[in-house]
Amino acid sequence: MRRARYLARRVAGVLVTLWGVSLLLFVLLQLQPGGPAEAMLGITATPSQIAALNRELGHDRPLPARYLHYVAGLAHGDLGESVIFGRPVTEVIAAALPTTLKLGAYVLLLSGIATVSLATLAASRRGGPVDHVIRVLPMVGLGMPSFWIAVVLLFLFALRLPVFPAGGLQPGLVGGLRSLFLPAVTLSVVVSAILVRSLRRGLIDTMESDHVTAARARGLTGARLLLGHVLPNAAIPTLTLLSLVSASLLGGAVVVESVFALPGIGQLLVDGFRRHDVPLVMGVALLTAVLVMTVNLLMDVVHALLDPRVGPR
Amino acid sequence: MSDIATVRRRRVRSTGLLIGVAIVGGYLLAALFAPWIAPAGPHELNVADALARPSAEHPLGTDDLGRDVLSRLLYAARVDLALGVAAAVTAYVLGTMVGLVSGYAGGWLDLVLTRVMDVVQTMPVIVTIMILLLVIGRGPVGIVVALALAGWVGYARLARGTVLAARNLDYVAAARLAGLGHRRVLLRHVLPNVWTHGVVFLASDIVASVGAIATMGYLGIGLEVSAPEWGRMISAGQAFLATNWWLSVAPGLAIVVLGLGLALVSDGLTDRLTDRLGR
Repeated sequence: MRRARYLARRVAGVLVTLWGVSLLLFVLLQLQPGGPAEAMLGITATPSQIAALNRELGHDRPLPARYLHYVAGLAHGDLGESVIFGRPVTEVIAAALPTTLKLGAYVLLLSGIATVSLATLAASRRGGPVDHVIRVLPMVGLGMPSFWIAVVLLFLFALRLPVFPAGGLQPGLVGGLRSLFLPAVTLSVVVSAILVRSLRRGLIDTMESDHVTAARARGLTGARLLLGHVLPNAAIPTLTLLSLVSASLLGGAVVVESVFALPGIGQLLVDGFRRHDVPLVMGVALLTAVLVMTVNLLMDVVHALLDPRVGPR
Repeated sequence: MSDIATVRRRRVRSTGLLIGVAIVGGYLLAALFAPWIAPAGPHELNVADALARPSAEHPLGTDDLGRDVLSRLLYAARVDLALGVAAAVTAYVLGTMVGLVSGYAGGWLDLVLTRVMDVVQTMPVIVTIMILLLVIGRGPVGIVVALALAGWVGYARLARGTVLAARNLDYVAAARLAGLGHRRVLLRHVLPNVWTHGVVFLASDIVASVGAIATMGYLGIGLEVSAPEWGRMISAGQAFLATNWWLSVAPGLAIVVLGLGLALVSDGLTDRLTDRLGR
């Protein structure tokens, strides 16, 4: 009951934040020099063309009316029409979203495996050379912009050693897994670099805790001790961190999709930005906010399930 | 932990800080003195000598227009460092001020400001930057402002947290009781507690800023000037990855080593700070 109330409050908080994001996007849209029409048509447009597009976009009406129109559109899932595609933004995004989601799932899988194994290795050899290397590696990983990791991987495993395709998304399950592998590894490097340190800390703290000593005293060792008693408790702070990472993961996807020419929402965003397709850019921005908030909410649910103490006192 | 282990760890850490400072100092010198160190000008074309391999004359070879890569790398340090530092410092000042006011004022103002922080942090930084650039434009000032407006929240949360802790401390209450105004209490008594924590964060934030600038340069959505820039150098070299891989790898390494240097500085500073606070 208490937990349900807590989650209901979190959902309400998410909705308020999303409203804030939509308001922010609306305000920025209005702030554009010359209004959205002039920005979209570029400097070669005639005043009459600009006026016509402004009328079409409803930009000639007073501000409150424009805001109401914008909110009503959002409520209906109407994000306007993309300038470069000439189709509704929602349609364009819906076509691209699956690629990004697949990439995201792939990254979670790979970085999950990497984080758990590296952190366990480091924590079980605490203070040794292996531990040291695993603690320093993230510092290097975090200093590398994701696009550069992508370029290096592209060079090594698509050009020098042509194991993976250099770009594009191949059809079919195997093709998809192959063409998404290097992009997913790129982002996993970034994500694991953030998570490994936290999980290592969590593992060490948990291994020293009383309930683990008790489990050890009962004769538990190895995988049963680790999976049954240590990991679930040690993972809680790392899961919280993961919800913070979700935004940067999505930002990384924007970049990596462009490097590997993957037809996802990141590619849309960059194309839209380059060609000044304001409705498309705003639509993708709003979607990233929704995705990040959804992940955060999911993490809260998982957190509440793992830790009975979660919730308002 | 035993005393000896602590001392040893501290020594390792201060060596790290030293190396970090040396690396960052080296970059600053390189950027500052680029016109004197660089073998050639950043725009000197020599098409006859295009895509040359590394040699004594061109230590990092030449690009597809025959321009000396090392020289361009050095000149690019000016652009990337100047913009990265400017953006991070602006975010630091802005965020600390907002966090200070938010934490000290409390009430509805605090509520509104923390909500704004939530909203800004909901979108990926690169997305926020792109939206802001659509509005502000892609000049150097536009880039700095966009990066700062996308990156101030971390500092604000840090400052707000410290203020909330400091607000109830005796000496702050004493300062208020002594009849000092809010402004004076904030600036003279609360701020000194807040800014040191931000500085540690600043070192790692500069890496993120330089990374963001290079990322935008790489994607072709960044700075619209002709000056060389690391990110753009990487994307320009990508077409020649199979034959002249150093064209892309060298500017990338420049970013990575800078990141490592700043991470060491940040780590070392954290240690100094926690030692001083006796924790």
